[in-house]
Amino acid sequence: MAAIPAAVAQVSRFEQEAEFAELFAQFRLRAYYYALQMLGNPDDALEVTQEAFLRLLRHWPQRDRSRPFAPWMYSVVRNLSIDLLRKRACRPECELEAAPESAPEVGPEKESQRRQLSERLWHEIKRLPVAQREVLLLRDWHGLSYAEIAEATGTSLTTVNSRLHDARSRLRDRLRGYL
Amino acid sequence: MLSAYLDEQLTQAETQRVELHLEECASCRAALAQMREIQRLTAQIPFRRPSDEDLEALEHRLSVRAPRRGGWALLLAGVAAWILYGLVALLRHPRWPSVAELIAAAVVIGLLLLFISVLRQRLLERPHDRYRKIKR
Repeated sequence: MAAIPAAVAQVSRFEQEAEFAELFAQFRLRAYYYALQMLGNPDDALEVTQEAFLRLLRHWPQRDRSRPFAPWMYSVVRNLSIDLLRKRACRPECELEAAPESAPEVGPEKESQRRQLSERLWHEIKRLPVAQREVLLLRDWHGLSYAEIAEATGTSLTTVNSRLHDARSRLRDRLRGYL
Repeated sequence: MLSAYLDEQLTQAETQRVELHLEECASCRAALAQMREIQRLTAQIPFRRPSDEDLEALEHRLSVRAPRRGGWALLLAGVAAWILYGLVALLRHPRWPSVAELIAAAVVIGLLLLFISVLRQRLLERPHDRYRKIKR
């Protein structure tokens, strides 16, 4: 079989830009929420999201196209967030979404209970060590696989497994009266 | 192992072993149910969505800043090449420059002064930049 000419095999700059724009639209909120969960401050989360996508864009032509985008993006957001956390030595205190004015499926009392439980859970998640917290959120909130979490956090599958187990056990102990 | 079982990360043999154990251990069944509930609740924690204006501003800043970097690189490379070419030409054939060459030199010197002023401003702002230590 004849070799494909390099000019044809290469993805054009226009296609690369279009691909990046599509992924930015698809992942910007996920990046923002992850930064918010790590940092707790919406302004910091927006800044980190912007810096993360600029960094991704800079390395866009050299990236390994055979690997998925999500773990790479999460790892960049994570590194920027951890650097900022170290600098400020702070914990996330971000606000939860305001309760909807009307909840058609459940009554106001049940909605209030659900909200209290949600706040209590977030309070306890914030108290977890960063290593456990990030693994728990990447798995249960962002829906990443163990392999993707390992790649995003630069750890092994075994470490992801044990951190998740520790995080869930700790939360189970602390939320015993609520579950 | 319960956590990995919950996420369906165990091998078939390990899964069967856990299921056999669960059948006869009420406390592990309770623990699994609580972990499942924590997982469900965590997935539903609502966080405040950024405003549409914030998201648009984010996109705008990205689209403005990305080409700017490439523009600066090209401009600096062009100015450097221009200066080098002018110096070599002057050394090889020393003579009084023409009007066109003087205009070109004025443009180059003007660009250099602009660059130096931007660089100076960046250096003055650097101690207050929150992100200067962040690896990019």
